Amino acid sequence: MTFLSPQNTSSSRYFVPACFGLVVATFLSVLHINIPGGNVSLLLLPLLMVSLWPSGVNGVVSVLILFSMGVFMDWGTNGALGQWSIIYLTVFTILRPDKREGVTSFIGALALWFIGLAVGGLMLIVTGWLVYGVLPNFTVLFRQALLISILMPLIVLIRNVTRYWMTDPSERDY
Amino acid sequence: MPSLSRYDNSPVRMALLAAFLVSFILLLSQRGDSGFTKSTQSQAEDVISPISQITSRPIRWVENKVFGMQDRNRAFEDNIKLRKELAGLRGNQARIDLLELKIKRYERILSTNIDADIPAEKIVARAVSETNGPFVRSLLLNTGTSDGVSFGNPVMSADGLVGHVISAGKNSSRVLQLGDLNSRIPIINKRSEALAILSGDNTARPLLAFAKDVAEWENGDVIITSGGDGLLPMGLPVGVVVKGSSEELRVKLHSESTPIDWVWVSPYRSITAPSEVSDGITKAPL
Repeated sequence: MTFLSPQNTSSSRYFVPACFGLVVATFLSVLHINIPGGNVSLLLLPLLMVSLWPSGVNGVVSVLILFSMGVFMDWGTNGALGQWSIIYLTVFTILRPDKREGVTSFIGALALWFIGLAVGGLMLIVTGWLVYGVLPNFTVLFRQALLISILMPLIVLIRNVTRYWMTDPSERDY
Repeated sequence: MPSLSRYDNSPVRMALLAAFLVSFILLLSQRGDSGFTKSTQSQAEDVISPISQITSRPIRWVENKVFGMQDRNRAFEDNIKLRKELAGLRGNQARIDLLELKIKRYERILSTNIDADIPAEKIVARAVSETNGPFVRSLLLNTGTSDGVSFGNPVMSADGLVGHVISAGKNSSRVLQLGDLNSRIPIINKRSEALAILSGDNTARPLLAFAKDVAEWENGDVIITSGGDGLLPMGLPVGVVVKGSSEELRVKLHSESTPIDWVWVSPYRSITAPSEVSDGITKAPL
């Protein structure tokens, strides 16, 4: 009797870390981190996790998670309900994780992040303008994008190590 | 035959379409004040607040270590500075006591009462989450209606006004910071007594709107709340005027100087509009 098909096992292998990463990133993004001389905000950290969304996660599940986490993000940041859901879903629709094959290299991840950032940023501006009637504070937006771009190699490293650690030794291909 | 991609199947497309549709409906519903979304948000914040508090513990631990070391390094210089300030304040205290006595006498003569209406009671709260995004500037506090916090209450840091409560759940409350796009606070210039509205524009230094005569405002003028809207008490310290290059008047907020962590909520009861007060008079039928 088979309880789990190989497809399901593979999907859950990607699903758990992706989901966990997005939840942690969302919580970190709503916290304020004080540093000497000011404070930093990681508001765009979940967008990075969405841009690097693994190809192995089931499509419908991905859509549901991204929608839910978008709404959760809106609640957490007191933003307009639905704004982050639209941003996540648009980035997901444009980047199409299913088109990716094999393990994404660092350069590939970097390209995905910049495309995700461009699309997400554009959607943030459009949806924000639609709801608030004004353009965003571009200085804040740029500063946050720069911060996540700087942190990106570290996050990709953590992600790869976690994936390596969670993969069965016989299935490791990297 | 090439196989169809995993996400090209119709369930995914349907899910995407439905998710987009729901998101757009939610987004467009934000244009009005929906009671349902507000109460849902309060309930969600009650859940987010304790989780954020737990998640932030390691970050706060590191912050305390770093700031603790910096404080220890500055302790000697601070001590000298504080002794000087204390000596100055002791001299001022005598003057303040005398002035208070005078005002009370005048009030008695005029049969009026213009006591400062800032409540002595303070509700201490911790800002568990702060959003300084491109559109929103708000705080999430770990205290709510169960502690006496209610809608409109001013929120202060050790330095000055931070914002006011816009939604209060049972154990959490959301604060709209002064720099937020939706923040409008009536203020008064302590020196010239000129009135204006402190209008948030999503920057660290909000604008002074409706300041009729620019000449009445100078760099460094101290700004306090005027209490003109009846929602906030008069006299809460806000910041100092900073004149921009293009006749633009901005305010450097006192609360901007230090990171916002611990705050207190002032349980101020706003002035009720006359239409909301029941006068007990029953109208005779026509």
